[in-house]
Amino acid sequence: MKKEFDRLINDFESQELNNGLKINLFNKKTFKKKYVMLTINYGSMDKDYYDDTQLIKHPSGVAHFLEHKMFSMPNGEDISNLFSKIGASVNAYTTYDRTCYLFSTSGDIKEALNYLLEFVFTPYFNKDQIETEKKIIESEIKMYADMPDQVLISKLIRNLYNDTTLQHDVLGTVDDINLINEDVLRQAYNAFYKPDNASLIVVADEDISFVKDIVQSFFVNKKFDSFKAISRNNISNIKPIYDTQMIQLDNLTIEKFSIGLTINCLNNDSELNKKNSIILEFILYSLFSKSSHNYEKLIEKKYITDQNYYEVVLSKDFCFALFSAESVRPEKAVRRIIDLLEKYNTGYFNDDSLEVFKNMYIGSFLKMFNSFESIAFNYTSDMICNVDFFKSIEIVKKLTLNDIINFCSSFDLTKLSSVVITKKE
Amino acid sequence: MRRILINQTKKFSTVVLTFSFLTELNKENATKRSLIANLITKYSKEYPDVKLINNFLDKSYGTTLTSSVSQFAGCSKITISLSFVDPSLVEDNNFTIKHMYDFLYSMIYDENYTKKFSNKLIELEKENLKNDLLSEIEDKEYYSYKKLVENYFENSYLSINPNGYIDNISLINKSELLQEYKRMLQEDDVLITLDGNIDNDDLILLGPNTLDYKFFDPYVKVYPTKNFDITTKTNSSLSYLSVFIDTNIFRNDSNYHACLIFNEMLGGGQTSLLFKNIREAKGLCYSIYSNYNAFTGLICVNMSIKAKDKDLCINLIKEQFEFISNDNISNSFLKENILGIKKRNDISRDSRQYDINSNIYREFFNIINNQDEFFSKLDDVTLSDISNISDNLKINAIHFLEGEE
Repeated sequence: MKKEFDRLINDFESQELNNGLKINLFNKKTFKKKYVMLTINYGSMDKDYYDDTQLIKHPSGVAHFLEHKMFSMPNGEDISNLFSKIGASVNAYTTYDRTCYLFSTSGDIKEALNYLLEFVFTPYFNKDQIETEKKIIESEIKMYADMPDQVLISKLIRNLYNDTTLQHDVLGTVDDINLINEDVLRQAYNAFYKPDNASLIVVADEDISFVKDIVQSFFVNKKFDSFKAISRNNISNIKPIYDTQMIQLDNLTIEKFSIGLTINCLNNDSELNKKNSIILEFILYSLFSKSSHNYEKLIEKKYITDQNYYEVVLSKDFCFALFSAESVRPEKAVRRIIDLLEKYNTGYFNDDSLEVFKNMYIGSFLKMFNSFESIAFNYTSDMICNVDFFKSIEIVKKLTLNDIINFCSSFDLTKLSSVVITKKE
Repeated sequence: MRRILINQTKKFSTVVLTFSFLTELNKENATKRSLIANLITKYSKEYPDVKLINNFLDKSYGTTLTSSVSQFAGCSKITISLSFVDPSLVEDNNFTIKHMYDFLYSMIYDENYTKKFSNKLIELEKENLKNDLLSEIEDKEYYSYKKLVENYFENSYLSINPNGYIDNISLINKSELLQEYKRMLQEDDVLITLDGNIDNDDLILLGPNTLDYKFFDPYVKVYPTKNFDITTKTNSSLSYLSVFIDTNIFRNDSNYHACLIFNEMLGGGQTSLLFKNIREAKGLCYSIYSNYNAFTGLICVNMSIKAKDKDLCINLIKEQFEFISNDNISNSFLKENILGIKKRNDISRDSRQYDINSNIYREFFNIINNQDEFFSKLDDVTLSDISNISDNLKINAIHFLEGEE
């Protein structure tokens, strides 16, 4: 890589405040846009947790519900109005492992950053507003239920992480959100919304000391207990459902399937986890990328259509890989893919394919720098996984065929979960 | 016509090269052109199959090759595009803009028709297109909007699906495709765009510009206002409501800026009247927004609701018009919405798509995005300008995709 690449590394700076909040800056010079994201390490998979020695069990969907309700301020105002008055746009989203609050603007970030910190660290829950929010979230749940791809992936993750807190949809169920009340929200908030369980990333043409001063001033005279909630204990005891699960949907136009597999992330070696996730990505690449011989055959024999994708998702406590596709004969396609993975060996890859994969991986990493949102999301993801953001490039450059062979010999690629969506007769 | 639009910028980590082919859009050529767009990217002399093409793209630092068909001011536009890492970011002498340009050029202009249009490839692409068209129905919100458009612009090019029609796929044979492809290469207007960290040497690649559009008509056609209320049944759990409100205000009209602000107030974001009064206050939906198309003069409102709430939601939209007409909007709300549009305009100027689009708009519509002038015209809009717009509005056309409760 040339010096231009090194410059990207130098554009990143990180600091940690005394209260444990991590501040990160990517200096995106020559852009007017400024993008700021505050992440709380609390997602839908944290529904059950220990507070000291007491086990707290919450309904599914609390993290997402809380995200919606954080926008209400004690004076009755919705925080969106304050952002709007200064020309900034605020939003939020929740995933399995985190809740992210963000804003973008082309103006001064000082006021907007103060609003962001204020609303995330000012809990206010009103009974009537909670009841209205239940109706909104019910509508959101139904909207996703109308999306076959969403139903497919959600069911696959449920099967991969059967009997763990990861099996629950991020939004929860309609029945569960009806159990959520002021007390549940406050309890979850008090357990997880702590500066030492959060991180801030600013992607903007700014100076880190300027950002740090704003954040430090906000926290003056604000006291927070240290974060101590312990959750995700049962992720280590996964009992995936390996049978192919069938779902029938009305109004489906083309049948679909998804296969997935998990790898254990509990070895406390974050760099190894990252390396394993990259190897897994290479295996999927060698089987399902458009440049692979297998992909060509899968298309030719009509096991899959050209509407397909693969991905590897790595977080601190879990890692899974999936391949999804539309198919005119999805059950046979699943069997064919299981067969391919059972036979997966050195005949499927060589030095050339590894070199091509490395180029592709490096290129995808560089392309990411076009998007403020991708920089913030991926940087935060690596931080949650305790991996240096640029480390993945180093890992991928050093990857050898032996690494892949060793991984394949120690990991059973045939332990798969799969879901097929067919048309209702 | 062969037009080249260049934007030399170091802002992005990628370079984007596109070739677009424009001709008249009609129901007869839509499906053929959709198939051609996909077939073009499946063969080239140097890389004679999909696997080899993709191997080259992956090796070229994950370059993305896409092809699509869209409707552009009455034309069918086939776009073939390469997005690749700025070669200055990687140490590889074999990876240059020239290298990537040659790859795309030879792929498009390869005259080995027999191989590009093999029976096997054609059958595969027909199957893929059929599946793509079928899957448009699965996105319920889009499907509801599409039905609204089809009914509103019936018999005009705006109602034509540039991606084609399922019923036409099986009727198309190889010789028709070949004929259309040859015609496209010889007769279509061609637009080439190159955007990124480009040296002056790279520009020589692109060749000369020629003038005179054959197919493009820059004048916006005005369509008569239609009034209807159509319901389509579906098996989804939610229902999807799409409505058109005809403002009769277009890009060059004096009250264009007021209409932009009106739409922002109505359903532009999280502080809009629709969001606050239909979603936040009453919890009637999760997704609700409006957008304004200055080429058709239509504001479109989309929302996902329960079937039983249809009439209530329509009345609530009308209430927002009345609220604005009756001078209930404060000056601070006006200023806030103007600021929102300005800041979004600032941010959009940082995007790659803005660079490409503003070049195209300047070239084809003679629209020059002068930001100072735009901001100043927004600042000139008054509360009475906004209420005047609202006074004349009503819901003209409704499409309701009614789900099962």
